[in-house]
Amino acid sequence: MRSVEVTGSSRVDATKKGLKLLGAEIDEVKVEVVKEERRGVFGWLGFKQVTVRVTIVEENVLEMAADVVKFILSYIPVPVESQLDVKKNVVTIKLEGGEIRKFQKKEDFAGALEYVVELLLNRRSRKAVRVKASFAEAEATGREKKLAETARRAADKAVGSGKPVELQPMTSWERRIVHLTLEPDGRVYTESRGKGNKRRVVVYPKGYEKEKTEPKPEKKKPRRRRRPRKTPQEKAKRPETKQEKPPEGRKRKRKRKPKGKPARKPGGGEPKGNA
Amino acid sequence: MKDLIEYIAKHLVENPDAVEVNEIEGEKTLIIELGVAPEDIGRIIGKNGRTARALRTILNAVAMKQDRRAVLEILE
Repeated sequence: MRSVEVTGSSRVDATKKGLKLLGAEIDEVKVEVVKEERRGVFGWLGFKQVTVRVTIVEENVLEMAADVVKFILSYIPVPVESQLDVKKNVVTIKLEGGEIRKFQKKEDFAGALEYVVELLLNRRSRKAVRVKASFAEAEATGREKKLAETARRAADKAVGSGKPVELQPMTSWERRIVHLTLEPDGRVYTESRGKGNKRRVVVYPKGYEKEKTEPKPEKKKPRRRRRPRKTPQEKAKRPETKQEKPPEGRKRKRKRKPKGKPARKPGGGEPKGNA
Repeated sequence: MKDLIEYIAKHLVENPDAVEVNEIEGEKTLIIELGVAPEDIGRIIGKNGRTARALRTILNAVAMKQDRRAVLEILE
């Protein structure tokens, strides 16, 4: 536990100084007033000196994480070393293991460990902690570099073909790297699509937007439903108004045909009932 | 392996005393049944089953050395 004693002109002032000295945030510390002095007489009330003890109340995230990770890893017979490292609110777990290949999907395992440790830590401590777990081996092969490489290749492909290139589904961390890699590339722009596990990055060549707007007219389709809804009511009037609106009548006839002309009269009662 | 799941589960739930873990051993498979208080089931399963999936992944990593398959069943 680290702590400092600081003196300032007020409690708040002293605390601020203390935080600066410790390089800590207000929610990481405990503040106690050690001495409060008022100097001078009568008109000198503003001249005050407060001494404050600022103590870092570390939630021992590191130790907690170490416990959790050690416990989980003790069950895994393959030798795995973990190394923890706390920087601000991030706990990094580095895993090593000679026989990692026994885990068929070691990245899945790292991800699961990451998630569970994060859950456990955040249950115990008030502060939000991020956990990042990875195998040293994977890091050595340069996962980031590989991703960036994939991203650049996709960009070339998109520019070359003039069509958007869809990448494999990725985790948010991986997508972020792809986005960041291609951000400075003026020839393309990127976007994430899909939901949950299937969310993936799509690389568009610049100026591709025109085709992108094409799917929108498809969404207008539901509007057509409005016309059939009105028609059963208009239908009764129709014998009189038929000649006034010939174009509309044609459109309606076309739509009704696929839905079954003969069934319309008995079926017409249903929309009326709903309205 | 039972302890592992129990440890994690107990730290996840609000009501650790209600956590119950049973192991059913088979030749090739190992079934682990996990029962928690009804209000804690959501915590074990997680959003979109994320927690449950993570638990299963860890469990399988552990079981792999023994050349077995581990199945985690969450009892309702």
